[in-house]
Amino acid sequence: MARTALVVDDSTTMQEMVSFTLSKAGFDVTRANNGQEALTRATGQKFDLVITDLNMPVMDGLTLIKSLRTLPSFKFTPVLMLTTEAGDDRKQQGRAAGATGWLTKPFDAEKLLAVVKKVLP
Amino acid sequence: MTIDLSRFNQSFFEECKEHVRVLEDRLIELDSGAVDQDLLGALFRAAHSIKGSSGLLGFDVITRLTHAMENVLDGLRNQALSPSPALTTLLLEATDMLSRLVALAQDNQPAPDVAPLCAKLDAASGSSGGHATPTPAPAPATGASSPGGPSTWHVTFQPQPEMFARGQDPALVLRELVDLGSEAEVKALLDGLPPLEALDPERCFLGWRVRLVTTAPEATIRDVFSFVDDVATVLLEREPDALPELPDTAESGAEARPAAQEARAEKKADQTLRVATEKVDKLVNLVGELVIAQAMISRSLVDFEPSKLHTLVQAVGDLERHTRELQDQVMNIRMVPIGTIFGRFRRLVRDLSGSLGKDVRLELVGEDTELDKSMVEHLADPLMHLVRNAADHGLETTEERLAAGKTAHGTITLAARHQGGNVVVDVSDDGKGLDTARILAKAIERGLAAPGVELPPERVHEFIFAAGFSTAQAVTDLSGRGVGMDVVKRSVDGLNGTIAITTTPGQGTRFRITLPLTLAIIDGMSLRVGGATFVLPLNQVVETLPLSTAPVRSVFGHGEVVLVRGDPMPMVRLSRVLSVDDDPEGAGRPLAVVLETGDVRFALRVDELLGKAQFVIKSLEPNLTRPDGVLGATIMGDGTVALILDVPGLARLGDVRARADDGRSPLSSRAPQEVYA
Repeated sequence: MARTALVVDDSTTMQEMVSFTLSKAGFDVTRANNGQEALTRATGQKFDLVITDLNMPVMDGLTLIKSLRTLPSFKFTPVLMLTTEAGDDRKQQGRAAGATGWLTKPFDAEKLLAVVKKVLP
Repeated sequence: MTIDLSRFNQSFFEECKEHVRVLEDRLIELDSGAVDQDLLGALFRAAHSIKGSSGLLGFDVITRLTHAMENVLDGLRNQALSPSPALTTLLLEATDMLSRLVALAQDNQPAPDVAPLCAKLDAASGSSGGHATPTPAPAPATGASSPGGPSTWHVTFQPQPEMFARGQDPALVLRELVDLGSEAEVKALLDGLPPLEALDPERCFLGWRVRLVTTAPEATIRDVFSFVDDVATVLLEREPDALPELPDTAESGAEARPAAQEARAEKKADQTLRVATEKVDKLVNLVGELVIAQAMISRSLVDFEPSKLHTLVQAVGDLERHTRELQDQVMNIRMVPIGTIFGRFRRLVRDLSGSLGKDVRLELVGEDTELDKSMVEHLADPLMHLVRNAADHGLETTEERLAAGKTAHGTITLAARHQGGNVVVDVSDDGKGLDTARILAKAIERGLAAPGVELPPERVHEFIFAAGFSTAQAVTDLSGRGVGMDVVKRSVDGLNGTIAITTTPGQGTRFRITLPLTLAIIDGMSLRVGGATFVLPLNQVVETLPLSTAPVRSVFGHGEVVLVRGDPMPMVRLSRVLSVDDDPEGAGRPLAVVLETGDVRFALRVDELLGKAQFVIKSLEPNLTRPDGVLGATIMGDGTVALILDVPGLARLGDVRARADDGRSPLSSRAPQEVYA
């Protein structure tokens, strides 16, 4: 069975790039445009991996991560956040919220998969 | 023990060049108005990466410059600055300087003063610049792992119980760590483990201690723990190196030598080559096949009997096929896409557009076309000449174009593709075309063509390749191109290639360069002089004549000349220039091989022609300094070794340029009839 991933980003380009890379790597990808949408898709579902942007309209990434960790099926799921170089504070906030790791923008497919490999067998 | 970081220099230079290329290619996009974060991110990253590595390696001037560039780019990225043509020009200027600094550093030359440029950049970014030279990263205290030899590390990894709740899996961390090493020993630390009835499966109670033998530097090891360093205690201890010399000698003995052999013939810049993993994988597969084929032959030789001959023949056939494939693939390793040099032409055309006041667009086609790495680099200059000439002389001014009913902007197209065993590179423009009448007039004026002789236009156009045909002032009033066209021709000749012109008045001109895929194999003509066999590159052979039909004369002040259809041409004997004895006079039927290099033609006296074939060039440099007049050696089908002659070298040794009549070029005595056969 293919592994599943939830990709959350308000930028379509970023969403597409991440999704494309993950599907090439054999993931079954579900997309969401913001934290709220992601939570709706996550309810009653199980994902092997979540990748989320932090700055998003409606519900931002930090809120999403905190909310996901309260769901039993997401208690131990690896969650990666997309950060920028200057976002050291955000990174700490993200970890406190329960993020497993991060991916610094800009990144290429290789780097993305390398980071995924760090958190997913 | 100090660590010699200079071994990283070569890869640093390579990396710099890649980043410089990104800067050159993409800074121009700032002008187009299509500014996005990707672009700014890429630009910032390019400067940022160079800054980081240069700081570590002690190239302080490069660090200083890239730091200033980075500040500007960061400003653009954060929208504190907005893009403007002036800013682009400044950044391009800085990129040029950067490129120069890298080249100088590579040649161990002192760096020029970058302070004025940095001041301009600092002024643009609004940073004070006072703190602009960042302290280079401190050298790791106890001499971090020397990259040559492995070191032994003891890593203690003690996660906090709540690690799981962050989606962390210690097993993955351990696996990543172990994968770094050539040897690893993992021990679980059970001290924190509670009795079973108190064990909460959602919490982590284990710790690990790993003994790791690895060549990875400390930073890489630390990086394994980057996601868990706030929920785990990580301790790194390095065992003192017991055998610091061992890896060193192993390296200089086993690795340095073949590298030196291969690289010496090349320029410094060519010493490393990035190869796609895919290509290496293919090679490994092929070697596997080769081993199997060899095993099959060995097996069929055990209790061989004549009835089994066909099996053996088939196995040898397989071996042959795999060997050929392996040869192709090994050649393929040296292949790089031509796009690596195409990029810089965007910049050139932009600059030319500005300085000439013409609207010039550049189209690139076939950037993925691959050819030999050294060819790609040698091709850059001739292409640069052609593009510059196309923009300068080929394309009309905007007014002229509009008057002729053409688009206001002129287009120059660089197109590359494979054709048979060759690479074809076209440089074309949609300008006014060559003015045949004026070139002919100029050629007659310079004594290159006889007045009143009808010449087909293609022949006339080839005059522009004659040395000094059009000096700067001659070109500007001639319709044409010309600055350095002889240089272009010579460079293409040097790559065993050909160049051809197609032009349509009013519609444009196309220069077509056709090159062999690699320099390692040439089409050659084998011949005998006395008891030795030699090979001449076929593309430099114009014709061969029996000496019985072409009398040899000694002319005072010109040495021996051979009369080719009545015209004297300097003759070179290998007995004079390379001390190889000819057959005695009167024996056999000696020939004159007419050779051409640049604008000089001369005849080489040989005793016998043996045939045409492809020859693999073997470099002589590993064992000898290259003698003048010899390009390399090759192994003939029968296993004997033959020297490949270097035509320009022979011309130098034979002093033929001075001996050509009255210093005029031999081309002057005859129109170049068989030159481009």
